[in-house]
Amino acid sequence: MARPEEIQLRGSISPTSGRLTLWWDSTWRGLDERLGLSAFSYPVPEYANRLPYLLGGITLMGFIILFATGVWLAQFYHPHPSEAHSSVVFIITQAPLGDIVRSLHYWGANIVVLTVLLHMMRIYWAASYKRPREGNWLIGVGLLAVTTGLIFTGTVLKYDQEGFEALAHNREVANLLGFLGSWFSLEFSLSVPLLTRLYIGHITILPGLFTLLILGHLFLIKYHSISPRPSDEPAAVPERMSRFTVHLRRMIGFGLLLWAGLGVLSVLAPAPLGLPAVPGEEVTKPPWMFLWLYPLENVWGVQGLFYGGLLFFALLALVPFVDRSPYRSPRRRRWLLAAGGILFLALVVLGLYAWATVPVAHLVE
Amino acid sequence: MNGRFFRIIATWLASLLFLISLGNAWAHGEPKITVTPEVVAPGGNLEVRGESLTENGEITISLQGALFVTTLGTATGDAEGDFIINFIIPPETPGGTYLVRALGADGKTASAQITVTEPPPTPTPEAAATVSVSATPEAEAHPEPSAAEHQIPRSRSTGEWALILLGLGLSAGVGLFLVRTRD
Repeated sequence: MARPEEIQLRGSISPTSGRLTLWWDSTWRGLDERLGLSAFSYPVPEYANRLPYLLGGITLMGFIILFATGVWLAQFYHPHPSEAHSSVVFIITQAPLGDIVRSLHYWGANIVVLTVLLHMMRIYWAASYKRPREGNWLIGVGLLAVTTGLIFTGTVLKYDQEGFEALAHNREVANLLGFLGSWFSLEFSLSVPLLTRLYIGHITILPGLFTLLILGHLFLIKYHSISPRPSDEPAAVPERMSRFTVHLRRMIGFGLLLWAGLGVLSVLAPAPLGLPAVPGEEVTKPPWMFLWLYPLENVWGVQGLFYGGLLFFALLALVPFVDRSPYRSPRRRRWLLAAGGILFLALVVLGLYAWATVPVAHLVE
Repeated sequence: MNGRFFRIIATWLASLLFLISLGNAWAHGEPKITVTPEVVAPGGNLEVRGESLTENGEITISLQGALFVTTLGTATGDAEGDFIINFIIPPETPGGTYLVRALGADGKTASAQITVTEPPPTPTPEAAATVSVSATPEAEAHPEPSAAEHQIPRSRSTGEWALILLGLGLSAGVGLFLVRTRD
């Protein structure tokens, strides 16, 4: 976003471009006066424009893609147990651009989970969760939980064998929670099926929560400014500064590249759909981001599934309260980075183990 | 001092209540029923399996919807309160979501949700005569759960391909421009 004075300088080449520049200059001034656009041009450190510090913004771009494609899919999806699967088949075979939009939604969801994880790893590595940013770390953990909920409900909605078994797990976890899980029980609403209520969760409740949390997240990033580099040594030279508009431009640029990459993936490998659900023996495994929970469920049943997930989020939430040292440098936080590495490795090993083994029946019902 | 004492007691009581409620949820032997299939047509067969309901007693099974409620019948629990019974969904049942509720003589209750589809239109003799058989009756009646992918023909019109390629090209081009432009 060029500043009006820059445009005016460049515009003095020819009379035509000069008139154009004057028109743009006055339009910009008019818009800025009314909308305060130049407020976005506040200073940010130059390193914030590098890819590791753009991962959060790229994730946000991914969510915008998911929102847009989700609105399109909602025009053709029928959230009722007797119609859900056939409406997904309709989306794939007959809805305008249905197959490609659904595939963009599917691949977008997968990539967003990856970018969220990479974003959190960068924050963990750089100790960006330290005082005064503990609150924003917790909001980030909340955003990860909401993302997980969105992925889970999205998996159920297609109502193929995988979705059906995911819904059955949902009901068992709800039974485990007793009163706290009553919203997920069949008895909560006699007039609306659970699948339809999960759809409402997917398109209103969870996106609503996401919006509230992301607003808080963005506000706190602006309030505390971009977190410092992970170094405990005073900088030899003052930090080079850039502007947020540059950061935003690169964020949008990477978002568009993400969109293009998702498009290529969607053309080459369209989003899969399983056969219509049949009650009986459990034959599917969960999507890759939930696979690490599968061996826990093998051993401890649905309790392993629930408490494993709860423990993971509790550990994440505790990070800023465990690491109270003033140090940001990875060299001085080796034990914490090692603990994070071991946890990550454990999740990967559990996931690979689940991927390699045959499905096991867990469901009681 | 008193205020602090009462706060501690209240916290302990609240924790205790919470743990009791969790304990109830964890406890084995909760009454439960499972229905198969979960989507059924009027006149179709419904299998109801019950666990830990009334031991050696009568259990009433009812179908409860927003506009239609009926008793499907009764079952008798074994020594552990388990039972398996089949019912026919009344042909006049309107389509919609229903709770199948099992209520034992001792007050133990459990429920499960089913969807009753809209009744099919009565076929004309001509239509009935042209119905083709695409699968064996056994396979239709007892399909097995499968993790296989649904094979769906995916074809795109030229217009769709043009839109997709245009979108991809524009996104990639503008994205690269924005990322590579110098400050």
